[in-house]
Amino acid sequence: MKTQFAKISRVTSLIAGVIALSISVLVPTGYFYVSRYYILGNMDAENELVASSISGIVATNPKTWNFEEIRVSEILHRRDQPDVDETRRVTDNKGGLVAEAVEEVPWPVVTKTHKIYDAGSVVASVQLDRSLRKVVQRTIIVAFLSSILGGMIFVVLRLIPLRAVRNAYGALSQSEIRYRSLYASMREGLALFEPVYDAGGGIEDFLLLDANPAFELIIEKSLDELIGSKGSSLLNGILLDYRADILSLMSTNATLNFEQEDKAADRHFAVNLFVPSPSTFAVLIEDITERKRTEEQIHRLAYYDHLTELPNRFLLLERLAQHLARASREGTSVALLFLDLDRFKHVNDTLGHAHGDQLLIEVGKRLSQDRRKCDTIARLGGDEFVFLVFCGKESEVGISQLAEKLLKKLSLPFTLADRQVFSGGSIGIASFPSDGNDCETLLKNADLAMYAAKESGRNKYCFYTPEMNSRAYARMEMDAKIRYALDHDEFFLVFQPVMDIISNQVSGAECLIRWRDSSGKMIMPSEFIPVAEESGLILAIGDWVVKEACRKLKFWADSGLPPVKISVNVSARQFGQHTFLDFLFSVVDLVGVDTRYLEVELTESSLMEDPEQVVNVLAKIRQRGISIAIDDFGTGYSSLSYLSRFPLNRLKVDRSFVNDVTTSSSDRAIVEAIFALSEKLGLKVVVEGVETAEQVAFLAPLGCQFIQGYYYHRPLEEASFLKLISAC
Amino acid sequence: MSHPIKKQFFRGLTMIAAGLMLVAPAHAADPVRINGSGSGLHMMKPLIEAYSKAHPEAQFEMEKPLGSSGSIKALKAGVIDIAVSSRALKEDEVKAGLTMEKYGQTPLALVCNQSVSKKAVTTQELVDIFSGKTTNWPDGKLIRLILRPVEDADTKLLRHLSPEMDSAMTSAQARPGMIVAVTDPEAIDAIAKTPGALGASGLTGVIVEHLPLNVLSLNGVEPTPETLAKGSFPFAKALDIVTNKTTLSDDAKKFLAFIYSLEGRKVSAAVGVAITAGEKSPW
Repeated sequence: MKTQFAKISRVTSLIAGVIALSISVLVPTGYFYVSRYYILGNMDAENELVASSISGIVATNPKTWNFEEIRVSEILHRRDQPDVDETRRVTDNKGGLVAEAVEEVPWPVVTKTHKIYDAGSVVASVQLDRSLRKVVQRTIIVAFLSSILGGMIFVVLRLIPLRAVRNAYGALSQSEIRYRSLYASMREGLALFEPVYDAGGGIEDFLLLDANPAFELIIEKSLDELIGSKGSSLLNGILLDYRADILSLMSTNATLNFEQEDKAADRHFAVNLFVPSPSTFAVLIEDITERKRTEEQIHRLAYYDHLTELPNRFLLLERLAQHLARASREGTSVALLFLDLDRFKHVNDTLGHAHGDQLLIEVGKRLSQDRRKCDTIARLGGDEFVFLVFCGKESEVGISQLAEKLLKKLSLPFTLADRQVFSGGSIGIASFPSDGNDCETLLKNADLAMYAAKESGRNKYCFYTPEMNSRAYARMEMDAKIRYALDHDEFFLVFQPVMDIISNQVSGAECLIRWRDSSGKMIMPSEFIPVAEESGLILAIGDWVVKEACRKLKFWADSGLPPVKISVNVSARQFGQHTFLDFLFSVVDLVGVDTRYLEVELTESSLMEDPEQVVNVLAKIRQRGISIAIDDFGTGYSSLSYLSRFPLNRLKVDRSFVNDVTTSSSDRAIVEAIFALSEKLGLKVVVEGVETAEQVAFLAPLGCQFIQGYYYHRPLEEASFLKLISAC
Repeated sequence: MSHPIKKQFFRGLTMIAAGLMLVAPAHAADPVRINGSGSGLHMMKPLIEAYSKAHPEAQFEMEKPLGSSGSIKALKAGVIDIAVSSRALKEDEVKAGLTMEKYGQTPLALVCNQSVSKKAVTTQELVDIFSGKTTNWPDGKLIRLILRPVEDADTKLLRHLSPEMDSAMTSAQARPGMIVAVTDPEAIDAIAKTPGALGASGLTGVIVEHLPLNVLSLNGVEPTPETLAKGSFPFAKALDIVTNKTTLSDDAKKFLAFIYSLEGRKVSAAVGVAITAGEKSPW
């Protein structure tokens, strides 16, 4: 760059010097020449004028004109330019001076003469001397000014272009430094290659000419090793596959972008090829292995269920849409098997979520066994799976066989926590095109069919029918009615007394919810509770029950009625709410209930979900004076160790053990065991569902003090219940 | 402009010469060649006429005036016999054998065109006119100066009137478009023909030529031989005779004797010449 600048500097200086010198010399020279030419011309004109005037004198006095000194002298002295120093002189043919007008004419002097004629003969001549000193002086000034101008022009012509060139080189240098810095610091690897052509003009290989540090890092070789190395030796030769493209690029000056996997190294690269000069090409390469992995992870997160690693709802819908499009084109069908585990909630409640998750994983594995490649098994969420089958020309029978096969797989026990767990499932089937033309419809209808299968008994499958939609509508209607009932106080409590068979007095009562709609029709819990559980309204209902029970207790106490303990059922879902304690205590505080007469009934599954945490929650409930009972005891799973740690008051023996207690030795043994356990743990026992005297007769000897059942009382409306306790 | 004046003047001289030739004998001698200043030739004209009456054989040749210096040069070169000069001889001219004899002087009169009503002028007025300060006559006519050459004796005489006049003359000479008359005859001719003209001329010319001119008094003094003789008029033009005695012809000597004679002196006085020559004639 310095050499080029020096060369430009020399040439520019030479040109500027020539121009400046030309101006310095030519301008004054020209000025002198023109001025001298003008003066000589002027002198010629004056001479001619003088000669003409004198010729007139000669003509009128040819003999003695040469003595007319005054007249001639007057002509010589009369001048248009008196400020110009000059000498005029007229001499006759013999050289005699006729007249002269003499002034001092400084050197240098130019002289012009002109002949004076009389009748065509020369009789005299006039000579004019004029000084060029002023011209010379002015020429010197012009030369001086021209030299200054030339100097300035030299400076301008030399300095300005050179400054511009210097600035340009400076900018270029800065730019080169910046780009070199960028080149060195860029994250992407950049290397310059020179193709090695074969005899046929194709690219045989290419040689690396230069590379940046990032390229060294990517290739894991030093620059010294890289320079001169062949393309075939880099990145397992993956670039050699693009020789034809590179050859094309070299002629078209285009660019080429692609992603290339180095399978041997399990790496991915984003490559950009371009041609910076006619004989070379550059490779901009970025290691995108991590990005690829991240993309794959994002893809998995977006399209796969992280628990079972099965496709999720999004992927299912995508594939379903693809299958539907294909089926539409080919006139084939698609079947959607909506599968819901029958006992997943139970497993979750009893064994906990960890085991529930494990169950889901195992179910996913089983469903995936023997799956055709064209089929998709997806988990929608919770315990819901969908088996997407591209049926081709398969009949409904084939789908039935598949459903049976799946149910059979699910009916086999799963081993969870060293236990054999039976789950089973219900399958609803919807097919394209008979049951819907779009993804959402098919999925909804398969879901409805699944509910139908569940309602018809467990471990069943059911094809969708249009009537199912009606049932779904009914459920929706029920949901709306529940909301309305909550808003319009259509729910009310009934109270099933708990009898102290020793004192034969009513010791308390269990609150049970009832619903009388606006038309006066009674709707039983078995009708609306499942719908409420499904929709989540069960929480609102549970809260209403707690509040209403507290209000009744307060009202009764304020009315002077004898105190009686009433118990409220709290569902596992309600108890699992982290706000439950705050809610319970706020209601108690707000209403002002005497908590000694309030009891909450919890199921075993509620307690066993997170026993460590439950111990604390129960302790807080007990600290507020509220009693705790385990409802339906014996039907669920209870850890005896935790049972001893829970601050319980009572166990309520499930009615299923009481029904056959008089005839079933096993039920009898269980009941006896419960009583023995309770006695050891210091818990009181309430036996539910007692309907006969025989049952009472069996229970009494066991030490049973509290009995709840039709034998004594059915659930009573408030007025009847108050009348009963008032009578005691 | 001076050309017609010259023609008129010399036409008269030629006629005189021709008339004289008609009465000349067959063996006529060489003509006496006379030249000099304009005023001098004006003086010579009546003298030649008077001499020729007494000496009809005498022949004269008098071209248009060469001026004092020109005629002395011509005399030196032998081209003429008698020169009437207004200036003294220079050393080289004396060495060349020329001699000068005093004869007379005539006032340098300030004259104007006859259309100008002004009769008198003062030095200050002259200064104002020559300097350009005054450009019109009292009646409103433009003043047209008729100048003489810078080196002419008349110009130098006017300069000597005062330092202011000297400056005014320089200014007038430098002004463009001025009329310059080289000789006395040309000057009075130009003044006579140019409306509003003002110039200077020997009094002999005014008298001899009979032109329509107004002669102005200067500072109240008329330009006459008498005022000149008394010294009250400041401008005097010498009219002296220069000859080369070694080559002077007898005819010329006889003519010179005539002009120095009492008769000659009378003729000269009649045309405005104040005789300065001594009573004894050198010829």
